Amino acid sequence: MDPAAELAQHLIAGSGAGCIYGLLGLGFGLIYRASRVINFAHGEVMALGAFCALAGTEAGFGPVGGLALALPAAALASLAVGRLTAKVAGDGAPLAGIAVTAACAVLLRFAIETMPGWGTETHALESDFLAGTLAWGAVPIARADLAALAVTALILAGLALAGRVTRLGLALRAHIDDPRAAALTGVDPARMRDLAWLLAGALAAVAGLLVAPLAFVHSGMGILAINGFAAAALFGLARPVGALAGGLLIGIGETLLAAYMPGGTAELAVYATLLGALALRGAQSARRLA
Amino acid sequence: MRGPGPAAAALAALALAAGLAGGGYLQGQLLLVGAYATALLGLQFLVGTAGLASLGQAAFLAVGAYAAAIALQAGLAWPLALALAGVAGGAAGLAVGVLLRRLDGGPFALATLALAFVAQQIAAMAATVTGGHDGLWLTGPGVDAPSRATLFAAAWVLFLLLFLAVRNLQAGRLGRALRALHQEPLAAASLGLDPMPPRGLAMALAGFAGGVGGALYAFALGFVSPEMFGPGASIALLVMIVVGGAARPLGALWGAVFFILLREGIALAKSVDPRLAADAAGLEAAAMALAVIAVLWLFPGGLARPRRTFRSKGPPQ
Amino acid sequence: MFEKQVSLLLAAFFATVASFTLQAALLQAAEPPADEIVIGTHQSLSGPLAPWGRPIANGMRMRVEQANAAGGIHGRALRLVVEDSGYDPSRAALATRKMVEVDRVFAILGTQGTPTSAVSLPIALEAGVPFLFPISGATMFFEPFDRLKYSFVVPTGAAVGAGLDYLLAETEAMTVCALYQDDAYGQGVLDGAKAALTSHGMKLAAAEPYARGETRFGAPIAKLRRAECELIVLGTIIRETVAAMAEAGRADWSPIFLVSPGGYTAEVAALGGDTVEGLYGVGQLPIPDPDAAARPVAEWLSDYEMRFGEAGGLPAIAGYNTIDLFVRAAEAAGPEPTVDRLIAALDAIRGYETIFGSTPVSFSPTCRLGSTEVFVARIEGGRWRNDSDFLPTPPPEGCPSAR
Repeated sequence: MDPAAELAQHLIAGSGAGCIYGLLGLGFGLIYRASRVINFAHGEVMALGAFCALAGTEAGFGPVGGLALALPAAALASLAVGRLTAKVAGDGAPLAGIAVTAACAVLLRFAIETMPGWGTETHALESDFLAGTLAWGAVPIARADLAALAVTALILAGLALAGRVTRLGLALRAHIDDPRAAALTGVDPARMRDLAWLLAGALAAVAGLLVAPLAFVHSGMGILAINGFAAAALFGLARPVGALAGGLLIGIGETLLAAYMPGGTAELAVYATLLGALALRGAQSARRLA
Repeated sequence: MRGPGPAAAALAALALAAGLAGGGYLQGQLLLVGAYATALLGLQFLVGTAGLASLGQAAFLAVGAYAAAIALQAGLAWPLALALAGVAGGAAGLAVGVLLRRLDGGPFALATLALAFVAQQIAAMAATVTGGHDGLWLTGPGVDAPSRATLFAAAWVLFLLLFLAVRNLQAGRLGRALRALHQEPLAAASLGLDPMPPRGLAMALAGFAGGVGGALYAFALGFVSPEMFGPGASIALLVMIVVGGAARPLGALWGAVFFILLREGIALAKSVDPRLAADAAGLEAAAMALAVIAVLWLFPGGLARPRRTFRSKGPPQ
Repeated sequence: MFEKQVSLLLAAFFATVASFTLQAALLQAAEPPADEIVIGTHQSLSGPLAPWGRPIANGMRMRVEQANAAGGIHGRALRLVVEDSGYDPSRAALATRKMVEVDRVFAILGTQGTPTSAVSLPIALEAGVPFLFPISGATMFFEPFDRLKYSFVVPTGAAVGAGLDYLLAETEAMTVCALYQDDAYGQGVLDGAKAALTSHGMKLAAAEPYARGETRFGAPIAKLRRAECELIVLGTIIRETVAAMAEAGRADWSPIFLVSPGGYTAEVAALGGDTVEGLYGVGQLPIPDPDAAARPVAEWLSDYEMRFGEAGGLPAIAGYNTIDLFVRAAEAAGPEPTVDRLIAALDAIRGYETIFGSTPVSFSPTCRLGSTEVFVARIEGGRWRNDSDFLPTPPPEGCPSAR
């Protein structure tokens, strides 16, 4: 394969991975901004979504049918985690929130592993629509990567539109900007938090479905969400577009490092960069304050 | 109303005495409680006083554990190795404190989580020093490993000393400065309070306690490998201190006791009903998770509840 | 007052558990009952390797139940203590201490995983408890010599080397590469491939590590393709084996793949489907084909499914075999078994074979790696089929060479 085609292949595959990290980061950031909770159960919500999509697909409804099952299941599971965290940990406490969501992650995983037919085994999501390869000249492209790019673009556009046009979207944005001021204008903060958890769960379900054709479905797949956290944090937790940019940067950077640098450096580079980026931005925001 | 206080303290003293006298399995378990509790003291200071939720404490345990293992293999005596582990952990804590001096809240938690990843990766990659994935042994010929009884006594003496130190620091100047920075950042800034010295010191203390605790843990297991110190371990440590109670140093002890005893309780349930052991993929972890949620529900603030001071007499903040 | 009650309840809970712990600590002074032989193991009943740990434990239980149904060992019941390691070395160490100090096990058998078994080994040896047949391809479980150590798993590196020797002769591939997991397991595969190639005067053309849990293999596969590899040694497990081969297929590239024993599993064939057709693997114990198994194996498989409600496979058989070998030695050790008598009986085992067609096992007072043979299998029509006869690996010091 000629070098240009290979580079194109890596860029597309990296973007596909980056979109999935971005979708996870988007939900993670949304929850953090709306309720100040660092949600360690986000990866398990994604796994639940992937398993539901698998069940739907296996029942013969195809990936779209699978999504119809996965979206509400993951959204409700996410909402349950959010409500429980608010109830147990109270508002505005990231500390107890970490403990409660980490515990919820364990419970969700336990639920998946004890579900008959799911268990601890690895499952393949059989779908002609998502699996398989397209050829663009000499460049082989996984259909799942194309789907990830297209779906993410659609979701981002939809969210941007909803945030500007719909009443609910405007309310959520107002709540995220300044919950107290928003409450004064009649925006119910509890409802907005619920909305953020629901939305994040639905986004995680989409990520779970998109990741399944290449990475399979298994109870430990939630670990992928760690890259979503990194995506959300890389450009600050403040903006939704930042999560997507962070995801793309991590996905593409990881792929290119693995393809053109000595093996084993990619992982270290991602987290060292995240550490550096956070420290640097912390310094900048402090200067702005001073 | 301070949670299960005096009666439980008496029980703890009884168990310690039994551990010292009884030896064997109980002693091994209580040694682990001591190691965890020591490591948690540093985290408690960071979380409870400076309000910094660190997800990187396992990185400091790793620094201490590896420092101790390498020192032992170089032929040093174990008390020296233990001291070295504390110093190495403290230095690492100070360095991280300087690096992350401007962060708090969520960004601080995520940055320290990344730190845990980086530390684990370095331990795996620097194979010439750390043994890579094969790990390092703290036993064998030519290695001055302490006996379990000696280690048991050392762990609890160290815990007690650090406990007193942390309690005093928390009540003193350093504690006041950290609380001011956390609770009233604008006021602290307008007073010209530089966040760096107190935050750096707090991280150094977290690193020191983590290093000593990590070394004790490594001595107790006789083995260190990168798997032992990943982000999962860091998250578990933070959960322990939240359950134990982050507001007071006693929370470190409660957190460690809670987890080791709970694990014993589950093992006991399994031995009573073998079906539990047979069909329980992850049942133990799930039981732990339920217990964590239950404790936080019933005791907001953890088992070692915050003291009632003039601060909390008003309406809840 | 609700809080107070809860506090009391909690204190009561702690007190109960503490008193039980104390009781357990006191109990350890007592000898185990004379009509029992207690043996112990730890498995990943949870965690990343649970798909293996649970069937291994079940296979062990099945053989224990059979032995007890047949009247036990010289009238003594066999009791198996199973602890969950979660594939975490610290939990494995604690579990081992409990088995040694509280359950007072006679021997520890078939512990799963290299890091988890590694922490158990010194604890068992220090207590004078035989450490038998861990399910791990590391050399530390038979080298250096210790009278209490026995293993029958050919080290991963040696197994890969023998498989590679065979394929080099069969396929005439000249450019050999490796794709391996960046941990102790992958390192063993890499070292074995390197050693085998050195003996042919060859070198690895490329070697690509990947992090544990990696899901995307486009980049390393592209690098291996740039190196024009003809044969790729995989130090992968289940998902990574399938994903790496799928990635090569996506680029329309079909080198020869040889997977190390960690990937020689029925799951790879089931999960990969057409993708993994033609994959070679190295093993010591043939994966049973339920549709074409010989009668005793077919009966065993149906018994297992009846008992545990799931199909039995390689891990279950491996667990079953560890207890089978122990039972054989314990029966030979006589009605009053001691560690010395067990060791004498184990050392007398020669050419032990099972109904499953595994490589024969022999021990001696100088040789504690019971088996030095492997075979190469290949996926054809979605099923693993043996491709070679038993292949010798270089025997460790003190062991005879196979054939």
